[in-house]
Amino acid sequence: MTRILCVAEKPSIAKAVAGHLSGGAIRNTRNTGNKYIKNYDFNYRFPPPWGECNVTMTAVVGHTISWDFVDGFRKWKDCPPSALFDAATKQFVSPESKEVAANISSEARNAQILYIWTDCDREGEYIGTEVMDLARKTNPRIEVKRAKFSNIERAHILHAAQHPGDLDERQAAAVRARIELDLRIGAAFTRWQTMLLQTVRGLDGQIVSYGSCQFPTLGFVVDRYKKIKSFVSEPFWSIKVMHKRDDINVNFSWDRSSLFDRMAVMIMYERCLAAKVANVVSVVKKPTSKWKPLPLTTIELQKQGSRFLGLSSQLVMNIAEKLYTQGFISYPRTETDQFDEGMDLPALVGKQTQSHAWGEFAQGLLAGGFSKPKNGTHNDKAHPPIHPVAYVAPDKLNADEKRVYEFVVRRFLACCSKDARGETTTVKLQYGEEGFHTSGLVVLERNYLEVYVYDKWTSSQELPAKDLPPGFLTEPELIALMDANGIGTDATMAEHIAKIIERKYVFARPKGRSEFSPSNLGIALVEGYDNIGFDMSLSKPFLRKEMEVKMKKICEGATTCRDVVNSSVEQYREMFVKASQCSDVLKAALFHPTKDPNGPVAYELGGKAKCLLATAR
Amino acid sequence: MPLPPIDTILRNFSTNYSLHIRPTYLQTLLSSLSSQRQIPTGPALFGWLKFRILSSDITESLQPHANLCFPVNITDGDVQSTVLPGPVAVQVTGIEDMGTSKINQIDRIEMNERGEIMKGKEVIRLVPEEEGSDGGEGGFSGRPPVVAAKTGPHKLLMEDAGGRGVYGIELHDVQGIQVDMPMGTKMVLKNVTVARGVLLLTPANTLVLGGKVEALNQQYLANRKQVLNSALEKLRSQS
Repeated sequence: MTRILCVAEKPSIAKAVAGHLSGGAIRNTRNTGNKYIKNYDFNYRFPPPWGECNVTMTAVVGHTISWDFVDGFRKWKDCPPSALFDAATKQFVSPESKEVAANISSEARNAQILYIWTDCDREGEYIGTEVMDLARKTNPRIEVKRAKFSNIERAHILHAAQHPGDLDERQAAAVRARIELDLRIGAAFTRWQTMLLQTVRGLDGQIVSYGSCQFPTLGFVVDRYKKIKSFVSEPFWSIKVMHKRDDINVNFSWDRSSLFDRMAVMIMYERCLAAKVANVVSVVKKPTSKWKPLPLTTIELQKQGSRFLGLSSQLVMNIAEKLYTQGFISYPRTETDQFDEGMDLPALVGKQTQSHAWGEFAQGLLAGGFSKPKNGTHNDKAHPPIHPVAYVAPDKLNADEKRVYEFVVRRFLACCSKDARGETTTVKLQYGEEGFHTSGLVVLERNYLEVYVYDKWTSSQELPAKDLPPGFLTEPELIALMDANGIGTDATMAEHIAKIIERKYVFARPKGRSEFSPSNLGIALVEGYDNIGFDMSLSKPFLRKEMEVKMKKICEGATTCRDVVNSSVEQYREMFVKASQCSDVLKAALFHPTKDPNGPVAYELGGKAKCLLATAR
Repeated sequence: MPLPPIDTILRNFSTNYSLHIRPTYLQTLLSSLSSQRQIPTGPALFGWLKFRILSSDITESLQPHANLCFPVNITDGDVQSTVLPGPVAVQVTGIEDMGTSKINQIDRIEMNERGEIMKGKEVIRLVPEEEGSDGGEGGFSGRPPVVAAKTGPHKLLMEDAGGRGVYGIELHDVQGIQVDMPMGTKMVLKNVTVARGVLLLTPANTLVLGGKVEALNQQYLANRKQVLNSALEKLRSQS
């Protein structure tokens, strides 16, 4: 009988997949050198030519292989940081992964086939190649296949088992390029700036790290801070029309909203008064709808998690990851916001009917309320949007898990329902030369709003809030900026944010939802590098965006890992040379007699906006 | 081919464009032609002359007769409303976007200087093109800066051939009036309502002919940020 070794990216996946494939009949569960990893032995009938096989399912724990410089470059005092751009590197089994690696190598020895079950994303593809290399150490002729799956619901896993594919070497190569660049560039700049800044009071013994995602992330926070700092409240003027009828005061807003010029507004106002009467130009009733949300992506989950649940993006992802490994929701790292035509969405809705909270709503969808989800424009071709795959009773989860699960379910049910419908009435006035308008909304059918409690729909009165000072950057805003500017992937954004907090470059301001303000150190780093005057600043997103574009090109086969590493190393080396020539500039930005570099910046928001209203009646 | 008589040209510009050129100025223009190898004729000649007039300073090139200029009392703030029949030819000497705060205007200028534009939340860097970068400072001149959605309305400072300056506000969107229009742009005003000494410009009463005064425009661009900044400084010190 053919022996097949299956390897997942984490033990929980191995356990779940083994459970599905064996149908519960696991012959033997063996311990390994790593206390979290078990080897599960069972039989399973694969499609021909493999047929009935003797299967061992095991796992790694993420990356097994480390990259570092060879001896002579590894210690900080070994070499000048600039040498790290060319220094030889080596890949080796990281000490904490020795047992994991040994397990793969020894299990592979007697297997004919290695079937890789790492997560289906770029990183998973690369981890798959690590596993492959380990297996080939002891069994060079082992055949390698790869399972394509995006959630660990039973039918989906069985389907994946029956349709083996191949590892995508290009995606793995893209990750390899990124790892090498991050190592070289990160180490060179980190060692250099850390050693340079040791002499600054308060920074001795502290690592001042550089990362190609960390710095632009920091840049966004500093940018916003500067906007707040330089904000000046400028007076503006507006004209408001109020009409009283049936004892209701109706406010009409000025079509121009407000202007920053007193003289102009006074003249316009006088001409309104001179006209004496305001005429109703039109009354338009229009059916209107509030669109249901798009299918859920990782970035949306992180943004909304922060906005509605008050959880940091990193916490949301950890919880989502856990819900996924327990089989409650689909893979939470996805860019896709369109559901595949072939997915049986009503069946997934059906699983939610037993809930006390939203079961009735789900029932209603099945009884005719179902409407096909809207399609967004993203499709990573690897994973569907995040959706619930099984129902879980609330008492099985802790408080935060419950809320994240609830959000995923409500979002999914909202996607499967109809848009909310209403009617707006817009009244337009002509008063002299000036136009005014007001509108009212009547909600007729709430539809998705019933279940998606996070959205509100009410008649909104426009406020003349043109000149309010900007607020500190919130986590959803930061994620949106990182996303729009290609900083990090949906999988890593939360880590970059956590990193710049850990490095004390920014502080999360304790408020209902997290907001970020930079530390003195964070501002100084950005200003220092800006003052050096690179062609492309390290704190701007352009360099990183370029690197991301290059990685995509590797995935498409348009370029190679080597070419990308070489060109990027040259680009950063030039910047490094310039930075070292201008080290005084960077240092000067940090030397301050009274400021604690690790302290938060003094923050007070700019003055309150003045709003001067000329009121016409 | 001989040049058309001066009177013909003068009449042509006054009837077609309401531009009443000073005969002496026209003479000088025409005589500068004689040094050229090929003297334009017909439509080409008029095209050339129009370009030269639109690039001129109208206080030098147009006739400052009282009936072609603003009335003396036009800026009288006590007059609630009156009508300027015109036509009056003017050149723009200042423009202000009343719909955008000064700090945002500065922001826009600075992004432009760095060669960045915003596309939604994304910052995009305009890389100066190799061959197109001969256009002086900054290197972005080869590519028109992408200006965010037109805001406004605008407040303009204009002067007539006699050099009298009057403010106008863009009551309704006038094509050609935008915050980055060159200083010295020529416009013709007809039947304009004047309220408290301020012209109320609409598409019906304002025709933008175009052109610019190079020296005026350079000076304006060079001082623009400074002007906005000192206005902000003043506000800062008041708050």
